[in-house]
Amino acid sequence: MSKLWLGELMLGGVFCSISCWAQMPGFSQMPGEKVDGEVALDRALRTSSLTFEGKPFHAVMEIGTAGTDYSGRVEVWWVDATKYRLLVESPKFSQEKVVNGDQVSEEDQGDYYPRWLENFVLAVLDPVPMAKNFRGRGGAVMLGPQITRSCLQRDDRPGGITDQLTWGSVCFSGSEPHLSSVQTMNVYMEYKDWKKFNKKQIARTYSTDVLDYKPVEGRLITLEETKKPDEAMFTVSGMTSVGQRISTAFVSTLKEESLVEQAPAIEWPSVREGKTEGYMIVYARTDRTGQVRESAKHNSDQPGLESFGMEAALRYKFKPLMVNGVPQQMEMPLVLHFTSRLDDPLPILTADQMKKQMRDCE
Amino acid sequence: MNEMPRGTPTRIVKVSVNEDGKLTGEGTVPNAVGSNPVAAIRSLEGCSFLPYLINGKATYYHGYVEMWAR
Repeated sequence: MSKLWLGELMLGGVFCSISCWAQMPGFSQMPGEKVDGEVALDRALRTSSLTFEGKPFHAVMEIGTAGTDYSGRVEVWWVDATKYRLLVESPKFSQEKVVNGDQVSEEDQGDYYPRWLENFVLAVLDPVPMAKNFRGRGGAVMLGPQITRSCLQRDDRPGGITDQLTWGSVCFSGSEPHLSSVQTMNVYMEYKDWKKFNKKQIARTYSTDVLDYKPVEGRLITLEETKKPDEAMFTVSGMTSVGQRISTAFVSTLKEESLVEQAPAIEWPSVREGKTEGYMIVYARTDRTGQVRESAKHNSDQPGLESFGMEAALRYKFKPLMVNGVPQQMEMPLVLHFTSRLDDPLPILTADQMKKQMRDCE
Repeated sequence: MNEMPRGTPTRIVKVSVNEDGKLTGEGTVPNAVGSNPVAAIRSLEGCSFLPYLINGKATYYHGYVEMWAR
């Protein structure tokens, strides 16, 4: 899920896009204003979030290519944060959930709620789920009609090690601004194709990624205001206890390590260059039994071993995470230590050899 | 060999090329002669590369490319 935003520029604790170069000496001035980070976040939510100071709506999102593993559909009838109906469908997991005050009914088909699918649900219901991590921290962003990317960044490094529980960035576009992307260890979503909806500008195209940064796209095909919500839609006929609902907790490496039940013996393959010993961080998500069901690349001292590490993570088994006596799904930064060897090293061609390899350079 | 805008000093760029001959990365060599690494890298855009074969099999490879001004 990690992305290196090439072209971005560190500017006083704030990441800014190439277009922000216009704010720097030597470049022509581009219209923009320096805005407090928290103010920008609220403005972006007011503009781009259906549920932040939102009016009742009905939305349908289609995800991916029908028939593939990473495909599905999300349908939401929303009145307010305490009253909504949610339908989620995918090949291996479906959910029908009705929330009405403190009454909740939830019917799940499938034993595991995958991250990529939850990302799309969050994009509609709570596009910046970790917003609190960015509040009360100061910082500012440059916003303007021609500034296409300006980001709030949080990167706590206690003891020189990134705290993956708080690490993340929220990026804005334009002067309103739009919310253009959200990225944390466990959530990644890009927002595009904003169109007017009441007083808001709502994205119609959503993109997350899975495995080794493979994109999965969602398209909002229906978005309509609900003038008179049908109360019958929100009737909770049978309450579902907390213990019967699926929820997921994001846990630290320390917590995850205390819950390891079975760590696979990993026979790391050889590498052709780079480090032969080091660490990698893999995003891993378990079901309620503690079995890892989903993994994705995040960061590694040795990129050549990341795919292997991602596969190995799927063989980890943890003790179930119990919260108030109820097992929960877990997601985590899983740290893997690799030891490998150099074999069949990559050829390095001299300048003369390269002359024979190059074509069409005029 | 590639050429850069007139007057640009000579520079050596290290490139990475995959099995299909696609440029996958480039970077300037520390302490190499020259002072315009961005121009050097940009001037590689549009180049194509042949796959490098070892025992008839294409392999990922690195290489050094010399750049100079006309």
